[in-house]
Amino acid sequence: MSEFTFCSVFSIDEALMKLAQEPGACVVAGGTDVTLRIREGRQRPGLLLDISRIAELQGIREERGYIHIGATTTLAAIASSELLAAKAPALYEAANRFADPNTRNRATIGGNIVNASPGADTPPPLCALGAEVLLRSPKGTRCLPVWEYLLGPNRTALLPGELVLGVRFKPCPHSAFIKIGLRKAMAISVETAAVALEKDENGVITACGIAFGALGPKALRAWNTEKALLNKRPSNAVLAAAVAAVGTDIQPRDGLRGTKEYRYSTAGVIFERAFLAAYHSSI
Amino acid sequence: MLLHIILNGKPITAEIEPEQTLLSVLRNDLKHTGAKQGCGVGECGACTVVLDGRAIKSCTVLAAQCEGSEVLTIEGLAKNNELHPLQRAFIDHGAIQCGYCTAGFIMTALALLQRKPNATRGEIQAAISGNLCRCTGYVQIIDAIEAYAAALGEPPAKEGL
Ligand SMILES: Cc1cc2nc3c(=O)[nH]c(=O)nc-3n(C[C@H](O)[C@H](O)[C@H](O)COP(=O)(O)OP(=O)(O)OC[C@H]3O[C@@H](n4cnc5c(N)ncnc54)[C@H](O)[C@@H]3O)c2cc1C
Ligand code: FES
Ligand code: FES
Repeated sequence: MSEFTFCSVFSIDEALMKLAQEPGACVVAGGTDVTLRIREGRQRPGLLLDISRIAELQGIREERGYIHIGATTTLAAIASSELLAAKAPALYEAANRFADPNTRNRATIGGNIVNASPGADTPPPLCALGAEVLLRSPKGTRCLPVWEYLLGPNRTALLPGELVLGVRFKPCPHSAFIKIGLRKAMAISVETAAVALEKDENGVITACGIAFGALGPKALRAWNTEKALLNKRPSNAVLAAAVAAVGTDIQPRDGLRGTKEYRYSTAGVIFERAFLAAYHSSI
Repeated sequence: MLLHIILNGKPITAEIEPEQTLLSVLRNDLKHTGAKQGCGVGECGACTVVLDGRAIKSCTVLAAQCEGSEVLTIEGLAKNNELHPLQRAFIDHGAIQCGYCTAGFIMTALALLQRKPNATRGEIQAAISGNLCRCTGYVQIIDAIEAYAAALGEPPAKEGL
């Protein structure tokens, strides 16, 4: 007999009730990470709680100045969303570079930010966009900026018994995402950069969010780089100062997919590309 | 636990373990061995089947999550001893060598062309980017899919499943 049990739930309340009853339960959304953990014997036996049928957790919508994306929205839905293509190109682009279309048909944004791998593709654009994660427990709902919610490799602020409801952020047409992978598809990120900004009619940057993926234990918000750009009108000198600041924001390590030195030098390059794409996007 | 799915158009009930993947249920319990296990970790696409109209890698999907779903595998394509035209196109274009990857490519292509019968060559390439072939190479495979798509576009030839 299997030591696992399985249960599908159809509402958020039902999910929270089950999580409270079975403290060791494992939430399953698309299952692309969970099935691997089971296969490798890294998943503690217990209840597999299927949340993929909860209608309230699905979908992308714009409401009262925010774009909301439900936790079980697939990467495929994000990669084909016209709303996101126009109003959050950084996230749209990241979804389009994520694995391959068939993996995207299962993988969800909630699973991606709970799994929280250092090289995960959605956290950098979410950090750059200033996104917040909505977390629900029987005690109520709380809301954390993504960069505070992420704690380290596969570690987040999600508490036992808590469910990720989704993410929300303000539209940001001037945003972009660049990924370096070892090939076009099915590539785990060597490094990624996401830039989101607002500018006034004179081209002065009035707000900006910059984040990197795979260049530290978790997606990093590049505070120094942001400071180098804020309230400036980009010139070669301003951009050079920002590129220099990148080196102080990231903590790359030698890894399978690139040396520390390689990552230091390419981080500036992909930041610059993402910045120029975001700044000059005409939407 | 019991799983109910519509497999290639037929309602089927199977006794499964909660942690089994769809691939494992198809191959080991339902003896549908057309979907292959290559990597077992979502990287190669040999296990691709169509789940409720979308191509997915069945080695990374929990079977229990498919309750009530429609699953289409390569076994469901040939009708009355006649190969499906997409299968025929693979043969005609020399798109098969060892054949290990073939079912996966065909299921990916079918799902794409059901959604988008007029898919371009670029769209075909993007759709199969998670399917690996280690012997034929991709040109013949893309040619075969493209030829089938072109035939689909031609009135009155309307290929259903
Ligand atoms: C072949 C392959 C390629 C991949 N390529 C990429 C890639 O290019 N980029 C990338 O970033 N990732 C990639 N991944 C990793 C994986 O697909 C993603 O992390 C995916 O987004 C996970 O989503 P899921 O719904 O499948 O997660 P699941 O496996 O269902 O869940 C993942 C984790 O999150 C928890 N969880 C899920 N939803 C919730 C929720 N709402 N509330 C609380 N907990 C929750 C689960 O308990 C589990 O711990 C790849 C994986 C595979 C197998
Ligand atoms: S066996 Fe499923 S992707 Fe390789
Ligand atoms: S024909 Fe052998 S792997 Fe594709």
